[in-house]
Formats: sequence, C-alpha cells, structure tokens
Amino acid sequence: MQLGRIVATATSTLKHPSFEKERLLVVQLESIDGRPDGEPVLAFDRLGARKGDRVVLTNDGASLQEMLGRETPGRWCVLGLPDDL
Amino acid sequence: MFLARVTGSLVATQKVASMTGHKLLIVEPYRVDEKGGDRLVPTGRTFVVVDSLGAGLDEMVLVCQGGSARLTPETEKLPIDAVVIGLVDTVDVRGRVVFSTKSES
Amino acid sequence: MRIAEVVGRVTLSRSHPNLRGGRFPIVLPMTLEALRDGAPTRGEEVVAYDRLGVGLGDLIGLSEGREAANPFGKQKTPVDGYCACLLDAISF
Repeated sequence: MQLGRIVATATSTLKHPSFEKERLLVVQLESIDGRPDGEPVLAFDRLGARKGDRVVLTNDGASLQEMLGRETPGRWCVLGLPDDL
Repeated sequence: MFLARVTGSLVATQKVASMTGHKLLIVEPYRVDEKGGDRLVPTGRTFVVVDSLGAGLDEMVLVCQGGSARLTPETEKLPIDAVVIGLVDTVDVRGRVVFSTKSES
Repeated sequence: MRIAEVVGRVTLSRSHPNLRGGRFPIVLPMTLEALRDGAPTRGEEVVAYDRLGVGLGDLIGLSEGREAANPFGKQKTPVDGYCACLLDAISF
C-alpha cells in the first residue's frame, strides 16, 4: 500500500464498462514526508474521500476485481483515510 | 508495449526444456526523440524476446513485456517476460510520420 | 492507471491474431505539473492498446501491467498497456 494525496477529480464518459458509476480520483503518491513519488494515478473510491485528503491506496488488482468485476483494467483504490498522520 | 528494432537472434543449445522450439531475438528499444518528436531514436538498452511472428533482422517490432507476455497460446506455459506482438508498419507522432517500413527499404 | 496524453500511433503490418480490432496509440504519462500547470514534463512513452477510439491530444486512463489484459477475459491477449477511459475533464 502507498500513501497519497487527492489532487483532483476526473470525469469520463467513454470508458471501460466496469468503471460505470464509480468516482475517479487523481492521486499523487507521496513518500512519508509528503514528497511526490512518480506520476499521479487514477484511483477508485467508495469512501467519499475529498480533494486535499491524504489517503492510503492499494494497488492490489484482486481487491479491485472484487469491487468492479474480473475484467476491470483498474488497479488503484482507496483503502482508507488516515485519522492522523 | 514498446517499439524496438531487431538487432540479432539468439541460439542457446543449453536451455530449460520448455523453451525448445521457440525463437529468441535480441532487440533494442526505440523512443520518440524527446526534443523534436520527429524521429525514433535508439535507447542503448537490450532485451531478449520470444518471437512467433517471424520478425527479421533490422525490423521494427512491438514488444509486450511483463506477466502479459505469457498471454498467448504459444507462450502461456513459458518462463518468459517479453514477446513480439506485432511487426511495425508506420509510426506517427503529432501528425508526422516518424517511421515507415517503406522509407526504410 | 496513470493519466497519459495521446501523441501518436503505431500501425502494424502483422500482429498477434488476438489483437485484431484494436489500435495502438503512443501515449506519454502526465506529471502533476503537466496536469496542473500545463508544464511540458512527461513520463516515458508507452504504446497502448485502444478500443475506445482515442485521438491526438486526448487524455486517457492508462492501465499497465497484468491489469491491462483483464478486459480480454478468457481470451488470452498479450497486452501490457490499455486505454481504459477517455477523460472528459480533470478538476483541481
């Protein structure tokens, strides 16, 4: 799992069917001291995370497949919102 | 996937049994020139890839790497991580042709 | 998935049979500065598989690695980059 910050939200009309009705967040992965790590990723979220929030992301394909179906090309999803960091 | 040019073939008499009968090529990945974006430039890196499409020496190919390289009927049981999935005809960048098989020959 | 800009395309004279029906755009992953401020910085290029019909200048969600091949289900298809969605807008 990795830490990241929600920097934006994204919308898409033309998309893989497994993404229907899902919120797409743009998350910048960060090191523990808050430095950006690599290019931002698109992550799915069902916890209601908001712009500016720090989140824990998982790139476990299997858990996202459980959420969105076996044929989803998605990878990252919000696992939790740290209480205090 | 990435673009690469075939720079040679590789024969290994001594190899794991499952690799028998599979052609191995040596390829050099190419990238679109970062400055002008108007040509393909060599990267100096080298990969060994499995080929079932019959790519020839100097040919530009499209390579799939990682676990996905095993997702073909020919390679599904092989201990490999890179496979040729296409022979390149043309490459366009921002509306300009930066590679074409025709202009090569 | 990273966010990537479509900058070109590759055409093939021969391809693995399971790949037919797709196109192969060349895409560049977007950095945070590129998305937010329009900076020219980009990550290393990737050739992706596309069935959405994306075009030059579009921003897409780029699936990479094993996930890129998930949409093909049981039909084994050698793909490590896939245009998963065409982005309409990103709001900061």
